Amino acid sequence: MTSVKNIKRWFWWHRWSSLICTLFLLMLCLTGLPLIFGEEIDGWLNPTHYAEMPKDSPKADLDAMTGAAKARYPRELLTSIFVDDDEPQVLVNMAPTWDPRDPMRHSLQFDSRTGKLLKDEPPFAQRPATFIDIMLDLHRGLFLDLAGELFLGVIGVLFVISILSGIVLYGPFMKKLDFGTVRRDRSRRLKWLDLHNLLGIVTAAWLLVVGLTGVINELSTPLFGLWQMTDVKAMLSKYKGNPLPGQQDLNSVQGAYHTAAQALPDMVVTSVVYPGNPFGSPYHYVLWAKGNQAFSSRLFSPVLVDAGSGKLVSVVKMPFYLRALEVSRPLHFGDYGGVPLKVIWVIFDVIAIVVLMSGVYLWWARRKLYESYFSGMGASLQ
Amino acid sequence: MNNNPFLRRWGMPLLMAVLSLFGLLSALLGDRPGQVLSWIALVVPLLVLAWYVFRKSW
Repeated sequence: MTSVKNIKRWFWWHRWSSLICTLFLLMLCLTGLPLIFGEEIDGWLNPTHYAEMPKDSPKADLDAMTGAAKARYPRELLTSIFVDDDEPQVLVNMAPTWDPRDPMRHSLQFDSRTGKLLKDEPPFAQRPATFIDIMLDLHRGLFLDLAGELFLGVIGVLFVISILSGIVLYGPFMKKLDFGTVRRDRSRRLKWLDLHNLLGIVTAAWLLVVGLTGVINELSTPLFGLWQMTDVKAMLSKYKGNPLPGQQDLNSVQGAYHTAAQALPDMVVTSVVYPGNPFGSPYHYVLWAKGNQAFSSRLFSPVLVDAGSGKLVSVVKMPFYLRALEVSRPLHFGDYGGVPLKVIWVIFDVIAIVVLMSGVYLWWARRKLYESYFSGMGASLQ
Repeated sequence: MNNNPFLRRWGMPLLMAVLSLFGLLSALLGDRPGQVLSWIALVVPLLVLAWYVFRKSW
């Protein structure tokens, strides 16, 4: 049987892990709310009007689009292409240098069916951040990039500890109470203690999943870095010393796209990373393909196509930790079950805010609560 | 269920957790039917909460 001393230890963990992370978690819950509907909000604030065309209209040629982009910016590099599988658009990304954070990086939006240029976006540094961009930057890393991401990852670990210790404390607390008891008539503190426990225990599984997947998402930069330093490095080592292809020597990007699509008939190629991009290979086009079923559409496979010959080199197998990262994304964002799931996500998020705030309130009113908590367990503990 | 002290205390929390986890996974693993099951499974804990939180004050 759990001893009072043991429970006090759990209580200590619950109090301090929660208190340290509460302020940040409150920020995460609040910024997370608009992010759940981020795509809808962005589409509504910055709508793109596509020409009405039949659903199975053939796709326009990628070489023509990159050609048009290059003609507009002849001194710049083509860095990557995003082929949307949701909206009929292709984004061609360009930059003066390979620096992934180059402030002058920009994209050109094309209609994927007509190949017509829809929008020539201003450079990243001159583009006003959208509301959703700001929420996302704050949510992901407090505007601090990697340092902020790792910090919030630690906050997430504390959050998970506070949920687990909260679950442990629920047991002895409920020794004499029926599930769902809310003692409203005694004191405000007791009422909120009961509500905190009830709301917390019913949402515990959701909170744990969203907390844990949030931590994994915060590790995406180091995890991709690890992959690049190990598997990718090993894969590319045999090409060491080969001449580096310049952008003028590249084989057709449409050809590379076609080759990858043919190699993976059950998958959809959604992006092309140009040779030389630090997130790709110096010698290959890297094409990212995803499955076409509910679950497999969350799993990406990179395909290497030789930049010079245009021949298929390999379909790369992703390591388990990147698979875990890919599965963590939907489970954190709640964007995988239509609008009803997003609404459910919002409700859970709001409940999480109530659990957090009531927790702070209970700590504030701690002394009497602490007494009533232990006296509520009754004699059986002695 | 009321006679077993473990189930009396943990029965509902476990049921809520199982429903939540089932709901979280079914939309991920299944297509349209999986999504509908997921909505139902995840709404149940919310309805249970609403019942216990609001029943007396109405």
